[in-house]
Amino acid sequence: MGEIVRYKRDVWGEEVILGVSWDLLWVVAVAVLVLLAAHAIIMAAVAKKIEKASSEVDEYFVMRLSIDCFIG
Amino acid sequence: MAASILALIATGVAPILGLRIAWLNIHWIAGLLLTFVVVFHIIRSLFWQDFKSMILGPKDFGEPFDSTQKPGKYTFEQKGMHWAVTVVVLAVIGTGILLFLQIDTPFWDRTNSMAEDTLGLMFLLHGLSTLALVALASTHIYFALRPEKLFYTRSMVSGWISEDEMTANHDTSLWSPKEAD
Repeated sequence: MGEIVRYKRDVWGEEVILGVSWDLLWVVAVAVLVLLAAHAIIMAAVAKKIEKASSEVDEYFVMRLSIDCFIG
Repeated sequence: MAASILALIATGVAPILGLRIAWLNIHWIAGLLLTFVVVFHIIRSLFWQDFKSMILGPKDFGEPFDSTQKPGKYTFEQKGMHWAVTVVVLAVIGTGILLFLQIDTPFWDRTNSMAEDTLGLMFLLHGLSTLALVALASTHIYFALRPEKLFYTRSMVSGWISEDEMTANHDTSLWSPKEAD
């Protein structure tokens, strides 16, 4: 990665700011993509975990219900 | 506002990506549109809307770490995004207006009145704001499309959320909107 600020020489030969270094556009684009992809993956994993936990709870209640019915 | 910001990003970034288009006229027209919309939004939010609901207080910072703490009208993330966009958009508008004064328009001819180092500083701040805006706009679009946030996106268009959505995501003692008929 290059610098953040670009400089140039003005008509008197002094160094002045030219603007932002547009290499940063790619840094920002890649950083945003990585962060959002990571967020999407983590959220999908959390949702899967919650779904699995709730299905286990459902199975437990079905089992308890059948035992209760059997016992009378 | 969204359309003008997307137009500004597209026309501002296109030349950097090597796309040869006549971008400058579209850019300053979209910039003027954004300026008017932002001024309108500020006045409307201060006098006709619930401005207090957007204030980000110290209590809000505990919200992401406490699952029992529900927000009022806006979540911590929504307030954070709003204030980040506020700072960045005001910076991009401020520097944009000063840069706008330096170009030929139907209203005036360029004067070259700004010193070169000041001009460079304006370009730097305008560019940094643009980069921040690219990141914020991408994040905003991503969260607007997430399945669990889609009802907020719908509410942006329709103006309503259901009672179930409200009680599941908001503290009704902190926010009690008008009920629909």
